[in-house]
Formats: sequence, C-alpha cells, structure tokens
Amino acid sequence: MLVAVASPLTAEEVLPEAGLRELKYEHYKGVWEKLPNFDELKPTKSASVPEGRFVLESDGDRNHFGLRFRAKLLVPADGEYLFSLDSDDGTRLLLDGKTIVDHDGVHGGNNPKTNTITLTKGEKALELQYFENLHGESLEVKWSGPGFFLQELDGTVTANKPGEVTPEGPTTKQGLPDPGVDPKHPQTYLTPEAAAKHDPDFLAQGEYAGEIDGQGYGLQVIAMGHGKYEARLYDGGLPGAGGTLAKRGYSATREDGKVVFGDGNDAWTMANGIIRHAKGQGELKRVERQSETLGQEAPIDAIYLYDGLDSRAFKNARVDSSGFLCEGNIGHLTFGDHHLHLEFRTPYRPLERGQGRGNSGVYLQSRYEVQVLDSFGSDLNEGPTGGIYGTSKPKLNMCLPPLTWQTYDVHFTAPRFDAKGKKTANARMTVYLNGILVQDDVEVPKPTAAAPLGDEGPLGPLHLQDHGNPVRFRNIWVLPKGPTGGEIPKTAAGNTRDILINAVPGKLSFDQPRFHVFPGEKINLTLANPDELAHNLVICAPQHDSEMRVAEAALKLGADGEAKGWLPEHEFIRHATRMLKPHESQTITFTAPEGINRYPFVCTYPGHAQVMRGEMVVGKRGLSNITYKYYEGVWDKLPDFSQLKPVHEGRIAGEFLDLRAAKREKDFALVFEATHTTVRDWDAQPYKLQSNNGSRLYLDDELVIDHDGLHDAWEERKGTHRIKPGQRKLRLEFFNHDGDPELNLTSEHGFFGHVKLNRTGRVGVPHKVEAFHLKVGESPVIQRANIPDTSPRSIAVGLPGGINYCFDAANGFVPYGWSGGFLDIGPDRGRGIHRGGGMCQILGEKFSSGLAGFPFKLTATDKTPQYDYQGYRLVDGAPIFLYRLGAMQIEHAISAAGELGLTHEFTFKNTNGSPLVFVTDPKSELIRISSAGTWRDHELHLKAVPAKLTITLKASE
Amino acid sequence: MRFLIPLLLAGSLHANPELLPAGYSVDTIPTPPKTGFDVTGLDVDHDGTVYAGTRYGEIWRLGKDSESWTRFATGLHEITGLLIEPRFSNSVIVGQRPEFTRVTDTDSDGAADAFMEIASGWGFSGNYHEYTYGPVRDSKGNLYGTLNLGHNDNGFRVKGAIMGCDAKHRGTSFKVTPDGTYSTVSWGLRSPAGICIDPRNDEVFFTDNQGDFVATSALFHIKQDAFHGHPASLRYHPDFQGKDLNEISMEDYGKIRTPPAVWIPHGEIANSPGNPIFNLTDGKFGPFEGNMFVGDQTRSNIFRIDLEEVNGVYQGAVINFIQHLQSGCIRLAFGPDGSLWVGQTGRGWGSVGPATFGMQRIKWDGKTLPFEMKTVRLTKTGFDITFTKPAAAEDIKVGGHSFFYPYEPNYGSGQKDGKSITVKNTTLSEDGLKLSIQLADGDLAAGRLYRLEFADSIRAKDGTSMSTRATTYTLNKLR
Repeated sequence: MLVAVASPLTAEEVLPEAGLRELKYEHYKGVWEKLPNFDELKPTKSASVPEGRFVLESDGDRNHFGLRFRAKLLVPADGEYLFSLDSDDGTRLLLDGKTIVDHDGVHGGNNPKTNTITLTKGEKALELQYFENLHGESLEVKWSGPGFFLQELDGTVTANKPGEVTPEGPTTKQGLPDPGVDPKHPQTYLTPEAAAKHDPDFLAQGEYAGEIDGQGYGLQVIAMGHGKYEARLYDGGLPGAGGTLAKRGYSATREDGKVVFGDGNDAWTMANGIIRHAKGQGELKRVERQSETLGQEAPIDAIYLYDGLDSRAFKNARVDSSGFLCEGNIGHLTFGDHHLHLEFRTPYRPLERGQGRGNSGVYLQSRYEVQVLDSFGSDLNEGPTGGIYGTSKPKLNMCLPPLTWQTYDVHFTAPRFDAKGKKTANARMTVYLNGILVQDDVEVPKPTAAAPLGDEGPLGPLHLQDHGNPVRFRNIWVLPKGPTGGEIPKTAAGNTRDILINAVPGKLSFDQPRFHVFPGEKINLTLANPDELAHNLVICAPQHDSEMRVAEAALKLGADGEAKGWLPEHEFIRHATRMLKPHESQTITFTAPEGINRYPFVCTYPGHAQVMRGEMVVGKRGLSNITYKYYEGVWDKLPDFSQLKPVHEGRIAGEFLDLRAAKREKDFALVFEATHTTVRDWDAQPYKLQSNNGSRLYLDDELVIDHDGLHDAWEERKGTHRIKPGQRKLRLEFFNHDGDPELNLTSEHGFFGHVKLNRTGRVGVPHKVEAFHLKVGESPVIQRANIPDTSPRSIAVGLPGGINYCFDAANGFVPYGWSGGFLDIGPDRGRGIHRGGGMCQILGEKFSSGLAGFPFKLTATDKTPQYDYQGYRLVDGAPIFLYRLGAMQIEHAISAAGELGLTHEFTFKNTNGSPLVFVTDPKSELIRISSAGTWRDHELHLKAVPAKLTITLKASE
Repeated sequence: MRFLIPLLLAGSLHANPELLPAGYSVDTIPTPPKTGFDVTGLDVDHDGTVYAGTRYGEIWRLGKDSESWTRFATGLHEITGLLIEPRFSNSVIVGQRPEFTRVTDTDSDGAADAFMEIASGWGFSGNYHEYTYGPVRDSKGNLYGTLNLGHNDNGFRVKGAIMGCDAKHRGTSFKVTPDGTYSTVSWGLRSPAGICIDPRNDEVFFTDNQGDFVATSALFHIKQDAFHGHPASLRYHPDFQGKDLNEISMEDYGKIRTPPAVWIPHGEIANSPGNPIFNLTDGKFGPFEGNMFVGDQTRSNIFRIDLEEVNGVYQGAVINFIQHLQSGCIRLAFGPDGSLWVGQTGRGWGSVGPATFGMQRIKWDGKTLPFEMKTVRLTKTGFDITFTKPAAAEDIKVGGHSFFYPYEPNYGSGQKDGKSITVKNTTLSEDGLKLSIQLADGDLAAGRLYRLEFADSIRAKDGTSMSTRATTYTLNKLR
C-alpha cells in the first residue's frame, strides 16, 4: 500500500525559512573524556561559518580540542522533528538551552544517536557542543520533519517532491530498488537503515533499563505501527540481565513526541530516549544488547554450512543481495548428534501480530523445530523464539528487537535406536538463545508440528522454514559429535543469488568492483542507475582484457551507437543489461557458468570503460579442503617430516590455515595441505610469508618460498608462482621454537588487493603479542614514539621495578606515569599497519603526575622566559632532561616514589636569585613533598631559585 | 647495553642482480640477528666505520674491520637520516620524527649517552607519514633537511590529494645555522625521501616520490623560496594566508613552480627514490667519477644521474646502474675505500627485492672498465654522450623519442605527447670516447624529456657490450 504524504510544504523544492542561520563556532583546546562546561573555558578561536554547515574546524589539531557551534534554527512548521547525531567523540545538541540529543563520552562514529521531539514553527536558539579526545574525528548532524526526509542539518532544507512516495512505500526517492524494503509485503523492512528511514516508530522501540528508587527495571517497548506501542515491564532488569517474567504490560500512543505507558502513580513517560517514572527517582535508558556468541568463529574441526558466500550446503537456497541466506532452505548434509551455531534476523513488521510477525523456524534434522519469530516482548505462551515448537516453552523470552542479529547455539542429541530400528531414547536439546540458556537438556519425544520429516531416524539435514516471511540467516556451522552423511555438491545448481549493483552518482564507477557467485547458481543481477548519465553493465568472457575489447567495439559503433544502446555484437559478451537512462533499474537473470574463473564487467558507454568496470568471480578463491599434521619436537630449522610421525592429524573448517591446530605453545611443527583456488591468469603470482619461526611454501610440489630458520615474524619473504584459473595443491611447513608462534601468508591479487590465507597471528590462544612489547630489565629503557594523551614529541621512560613515565619534550613536563608493563611498540614498528608510525599503547595502570603543564614560574619578572628543551643525557641508563629558562639551566632527574608517584630532582645553574614558584595541577589530590620552600595549596613558593630542589608528587592513598 | 655480534659469513644469498656493469660486485652484509634493521640513516666515517640508523630508532656501528656490529644508541623516533659529526668524535646527528638530534658517546664506552636537540622548528602532528629527512651539511656548517607531508584521511588536503599538511612546515625544506637558527628554504615538497649536497659548491638537492602533483619521481635543486609544486605546504606560507588553496588554478600554481632538475621515469628507473650521493671517490668506484648515484626503494635498484648546469639551471640524464638488489635501496654512502654502502628497507611500501630490510655493499674491482655511458650533455643541436672507454665506430645506432610530464593533481601522471625524434647524424670522436648526436631541426624543445637508446649492436673497441643502453635527459633550458 502506497500512501502519498499530504503536506502543505511539498510545492517547493527548497523550504523557505528553514534550517540554520548565523552559524558561529568557538574552538577550545583541552583533554576531556566528556564534554566540558564551555562557559568556564576560554576559546582559542571563534569565527562565523558563512556556508552554514557544521564543519570540524580543528585549527590544525587532530586531538584534544572542542568546538561549540551556535546558530538560529528556523523551524518551518509545527510538527514532529527527528534529530540525529553521529560523532567521534562526544556531542550534545541543545535547543533553547534544553538538551535534545546527548551523545557524550569518548566513542567512535557510525553509531548515530537520535531523538524525536515536537517543535512549533519559528526561531530556536541552537547549540551544538563537540569534543575530540584522540584518534579519528567525525561529526554528522541530520534532521527530518514535516515534508522533508532525513538530511544534513545546514542552511537549506530540501523538501519532498510533490507526490513523492512516503515513508511507507517500497521504493526510495528515485524509484530505484531499496534492498531494505520488502516489495511483496506492506510495511515490511529488511534492514535497520530502511526501517529507521521510513518509520519513526522504529527508533523508539527497543529495550530500556535502569534503576528507579534503587530498584532495577527493564522495559521492552514494542512498535505496533502508526505511533502505537506496547511495553513490558520487568523487575530486576531486562530478561537475561536480572529480569525473568514480565510483571506488567502497557499500551500507549505517541502524542506530542511523548509516549506515556500506564497512568497515575504507575505512569512511565518516554521522551528524548529516556523513560521516567511518575513517582520514582531515576530513569531507564535505551540499551542495545548483543549476543556473546554473535559472529563466533567455527571451531577448527567444524563444518561451515553458510559462511556468507558458499551456499552449496543447501538445496534450492536463495541468497539476497546483501549476501544473507533467505528463509526456506534444506541442507545436503545429514547429522546425528551435533552442535549448531546459527545467526538470524527477523524483519520489522509493525502492523503484523503474533505468529505473523517475522515467522520462520530452525528444524534440526528437519524434525525438531526451535522457533524463529519476532516475539520481542511477547508472552511465553505465544510460541516465542527460543521455544521448541509445541513441546517446550523457553525459560525466559530472550528474543531481541526485530532487525537485530540474534544467535542460536543448540546442542542436539539424536534419538537412539536398537538393531531392529526401535527407538530406545528420545532426542534431547539444550538451546542457548542470544547466549542465554533457554532450554536445558529438554527431551523431545517426537518431531514437532509441521516437521518436513515426520519419521524419526538417526540422521537428518538442517531445515530453515519458509513461513512466507523474509527472515535472514548467516554464519551457520555445525560441529558434528557423531556420524554424518551426505555430500556438499560441486555446483550450486538450483540455488538463487540476488546481486544489486549501483552506478555511483558522479563517480563513473560501480559501487561493487567485484561480486562472487557459485557455478550453476541462478543469478538475478540488478543494475540500478541513480546517476545523471546513462550506464549499462556487460559481463564479458574470462579472457584477459576482454572488457576493454568489448568497450572498444562499442566505441566503433560510432553513429549507430546511441540506437544500439552502445552494445556491439562481440564474441566476448556473455550477459548485458540494456543502456539504463538516469534513475532506471533493470534485473537480468542468468546461470553462473561452471568452473572457476573471473569474468570482467564494464559499462560500454563511450569513455566509461577505463574506470567503470569490475569482475564477477565464479567459485571461491583462496583455500579449501585444509588438513594438517601436528608434530612435537625441538628444532632450529624445519625437520624432515617424512621421518616423523605426527602427534595429531585433522581437518580445518573454513578457508584459513590456523595455528590453533597446535596443542602447545612452542616447540612444535605443523604441515598444512590445502587446495588453493585462484581465478586469475598470472605469470608470476606473488606470495608473501612471515612466520615465527621457520616456514616453507610449496605449490604443486614446487618450492616457492624458503623462509626456514629461527627468526621473528616481521621478517618477510616473497616468492612467485605461475598460475592459471583453477586449483593447485598448497603445502605449508611451519615450526616454532623461539618466541610466540606466528604465521602470515598472503597471496597478492594485483589491482584487487591481497588475499589472506591464514588467520592472523595466534587466533584461539590468549593474546600474547609480546614480540613488540618493550621490556624493562635492570636498566631503564627510553623510547620516543607516539603514545596516548601527550604530545607526539614525548619520550617514554621505563624504570626498573615497573614504574614508567613520559616526558613531554615539547612542553617540559611529565603528563602522567604508569605502573606495570612498559610499552607496546607494535603500532610504531609495523605490526598491524605495516608502515608503522602508529599510536603505541602503554602497558600498565596510568597514574596522575600531578602536573598539568610546565611547572616553573619566575615571579621576579612579569613574564617567565620560555621553556627551551635541549635534550637528555644518560646516567646509569636513566635520562636527565636538560632545558633552559632564559639564561637559567635546569637539569631534571626523575625516579619512582612508591607505586603511584614520581620524585623530581632539579639542579639549577646560572640562577639570578629570582623567587621561584612550582605549580602543580590544582585538580590532583596528591601528597606534595619538597626539599625546600613553602606549599600554598598547589603551589610551592621559594624565595630564591635554589641550587637543588627535590619534589615528590604521589597519590594520597 | 653494549654487546658484540660476530658476523657469521659475508653471504651473498640475494646478491644476484640482473644488471651489473662489468667489474662491480655486491656483498650482502649480515645484520644483527633478531633485530629489525631497516637502514634509513647511513654514513661512513673516514676510518671506514659505518653508522646505520634504523626505522626502529636504533643506531648501530660496524667497526672499520667490518666484522662486528655494536649498538650505539636506542630509543629514537623512527630515524630517517644520519650524518657523522666531524667536529666531535663518537658523535652523529640523526633526523628523527620530532628533531634533528646530536647523539654522542661522551665517555667513549661505545654507547651514546647524550641526545641533544639541534633543531625542531617544524610541526609534528603524529601522523605516520611525517618523516624528517637529513641532515646534510654545507661547508659553513649549516644543516639542511626536508619534511614529508602527512597522510591523514581527514587532514588538510588540496585538490583531492592524498597527502596533506597537518602541521606547520610539512612539505618544506629547511636550514639550521650553526647557532641553531631554523628557517624554511623552499616549499611545495611531497615525500622528499632523499637529500644530498654537492660538497664542491654547497648546492643542495632532494628527490621527491611520485604521487599527487608529482607526475613521476624527480630530483629537485633547492633554492631559497622556491616552490616545487605540491601546494599543501602553502597552508603555512606567509603569502598564502587567508587564501583557499583549492581555489588557486593549476595554471597559477604552474607560474610560481620551479620544475625539477631531472625527472626520473616511473616504472623504468625509479618509483620511490632515496638519497642521491655524488661519486667523488677519485676513481676508486670506477669510471663514473662525478656522477650522482641514487637508490630506489620500490624497484630495489641504483641508478646514476649526470647533472649539468645550462643557463643557470640544473638538468641532466638518468641511467640505470644496478638492478634487483635484495631489498628497497633508500640510503647510499661511499666509504673511504670507494665502495658504495646501501641501506635498505622494504617494509610498508613493498620492494622488488624480497628481503624486508638489510644492507649491501657494492665494490669495483679497481681494474675492469665496463663499457657504459658516462655523461650525457646537451648541445645546440642534440647531445654529446661520453663513454667509459672507446666505442667501436661501426655499429652505433641510436634512436629515441621525446615527451613531457604534466603538472596536475593526479597521483602520478603518464608520459604525455610522445614524439619520435630524428637522429640526423652521429659523430664519434677520434679517441672513441665521445659521440655527438645531431637531431633534426625542431626536435629539441625546453620542458621536454629525451629518451635515447642504442641498438644492442653497440660495442666498445675491445668488444665488450653495454649493460644499460638507454638514458633519459630532462631538458629544462636549451643551450
């Protein structure tokens, strides 16, 4: 059902009298973890922003600055407005002095915070506060309101076009396909982005938790469509987080931007993303919970049924354009006892009720169903997710809001049969929903209702139910505990895959330079063209440069080109869309070819081909069929494996070589063998190998890289091998004796980047990446590097005994110390970012130095001369920092004072008898001790600069 | 903190360069075990002691007997240049990210104990690409260095470039006088990974790496207040305050830009050159006296530049010298015996040479004369090419083409407007050492490059063939 918006504001494209006016900003410097009170600070700069856009004007700073924007906001009409803040780090939006959206604290971007409020037409005073601590910085402010969709909050507001489809329609502005909207069902959304865009109710629904009068509460708010909500109240917290059964239910309708659940003394008011109780003190805040097992990798010997690409483990599977498996699939492999991990996402269907709201199901062995349903906030008697259908209710309703990825982890014990086939024991299931136990070893006496397999048996395949609702699945793997049966076919014949490719407006490119399909799959390829130019997509033969040959032929059409849609007749053309005009889209259907290869695609409009192209990869490149042999022994180079007996042998799930195959942490060897599939034709395919310690790479029994011997992982060796599209045998030998085992093997794919062939480092073993940890022994260790929360011109010093500090050479003081380990120098030395130069990490507990800046003031003169850093010299390995203050020379030695403090010894030369003041941070609660002078609060006063001065600053505990 | 590591054997596992003029050999110097040894600072003392500064912030010393490495200093912030202090013993100056620092072993126990700042007048935002290159020293004791732009995704960038200026003086060359005064010399640098001085006349040169605004890697001559072409550094130029650098047209930038002395063709000669060094070894390094030698990190080769001054402007020719060393060649230094030490790193940008880092040394055997081009000089009608030994007159065939490199914001640009050139006449001098090439009228034009290549029939009188038969000359000014 499409409904056009009836709005008085749709006649104009740009709304008059709307948006920001007179935007100004102030720039501040400081180190904060929360927004400061800018009223108490002095701006370093202020200016107006004539363009009327929020711009991060950092004034050259990348870290440690704040901004306060102020403007007039012209609100174009009475009505409801949504504001969205996305920032790195904290932001706060205020209107007429009232906080509208609070997104404070140190955090990253791409995590917008929103609020909906009712505003009256007219002028409001807007204030936006922002601060940046460290690392990345971003700021995005958006709003939507009557007659205009969500857009950047700036000087102009673009109105919806007359007759434009409203939030309830299945298409986007341009009439192009939106993968987040289900075209078959009204008000059914498949992605959070689409739901948030089209239905303001979506953003308010969800989970809220907090304390009222010291008691924990959880409230689940369920959107019921058209501004109506229901809510469930839990004592003690949300289900699985203190709460169990809902105590009370409410329903309410949003009015004036507020939703009030209940009434009188039991009224809960939801406004600005916070829920307050009529009587009690405190508030409930929105929480977004995520299962602990979300994204969990398969154990080394599991079997992937769906890894995001390869759908061959299912019959007639359909994969959507986001690469998620759709409802309605039966597996090829059959299992007895097994553990299943599966992730699912129910759609958002606010108008549906009960079992119509995102229904599917997971049938283990195609017989025993655990329910999949948007049963967020529903009653345990309504057949919710977590239930064994018709057999056993879950212990509690652990279903999360729709469009949240949720997890099932199921231990399944198959029924047992005697020699005559008579059942001797029932099937049993233990089910974790979102990481919480909801079924504890429950006996299932017979197949559940509507099971595809009615008769019980020892083995059966996984079945994902098609209940006519668009439910999505990903990351499905099985760890068999007993016999299995069946085979995964070589091709994906019968399976369907949707691919959506957009021309990128103004960029002459496709938004995906590559997509993957499987041999035999039916491909529904949609090209959408939101650009102002005409584009097509032509898939070409796998020959080298075939796309350029086709594009050249198109160019040669000359005067006939326009009429023929710039599509020449050419032997290299495999599949093609027509030449799409701006804002058109087209879907073509074809069967993916057999074999493993790459098929270039290109836009043949004249002049586009040089940049507007990509490749369709058929089959899965990288590693498969990985097996390993594990050996133990002490070697300083690779042994002759033909003379050794492996301690253990096995196979590896997935596509990466994996050091978790080792059973101990040193003095072992592994020999991996795998099928390596490539889709390119290269005379010299480059490979890179890093390992700790030695390793050797063979392809088709030819030695490609010899990297034997005792060495660290950062030593890299390269080799090349001639390849053709297809499969070859890979063998990798590895041993470890000295240091943490580490292995990195990559295969470069030229223009299309690197392909990793192993899991990085030591997956599965607790993090012990110590190769780049600087250790302090009996002598101090000094290292200059980028370290957090100080100037990049700082010097880190590790003292024997585990006390460390940094000296900021640019500003002449110690910003902080830390106790424990010294420094993880990896980011500087090429771990992670190969080029190095990154931000290093301190390896201990930080403590306050008690100093906030250069500490000395000479009070005889009006102005203390400038601090002038000169360097440091080493005495017994420890640095003595040397600097000048005018003619005066200062030597500064630093030693540990207990576990949370430092002693500073200053030697002064060339003094002139001036009084001296040493200023500590007034905010620090410290024990301040000095060898001379008088402390007045946080300042030490000396009548004259002494020859020597010792000051200890340490924590007061 | 001092320990000795004996060298195991002077192996030459990776010393199989494909291109190697006759009489030259390559030794691979074993580096200390289990130690990151990307050599990005390198100098050799009069007595043959080698100092190597590494990207891990360490300084190592190889004794004059070349038998053992000792660690001289640690803890510095990614060293990218090193110069031995002639005024002090046991002392070097390193370029590290935040400073030029004098590192001295004052008590002569073999390990440095004083780390004194010499200069830090530039901004440093902490971005990984903000390297400090240098120093080199002139005869008056002034030090010179160059400062890399930053590579911040959200940084200050001009015209869509990937490198930008997020702290003052990034993308400039600078000078530090003996009394410590810091001043900017020239602007518009991008990734100037190698600096060099001609000790005969105190002229300073640097190489810049191909990338945005830099069509191909190039050798620039530094002159006070010159603008070399990358606009990001102008953010802090006093004449550009309040101006939007994106609004200034490429044409206007072109008007103030001083083009490079010598372009270094990408893909053929170099992709990321390091520091040049003049061969002034009195013939100890063979017949290429006076040539400049430059290493390349990506291609792991070393090439020669023959420079000349024409009407007040430097220009000259590039000639490949040696190819496929074990890792990326970023630092070169001549030892007192005339051997060429090569500091190497391949980390982060990749190198043709397979090793991540290392050190090699190139020696001439003192007797074998290879048959190569020695100098390429512009004449009014063409070029004079001199040879290292007499050429046989019979089989000299030479041809070529000309082209130019555009000035545009793109990340590297191809060769434009390629035209063939016509060799009207060649004349070999009586001694066989100089070939004069006369081109057709109108073939020579300022602002273009000339690639000349001999047919492989060319031989010396004694029958030896030439290892490198091609050269490319940058013609800034006609004679």
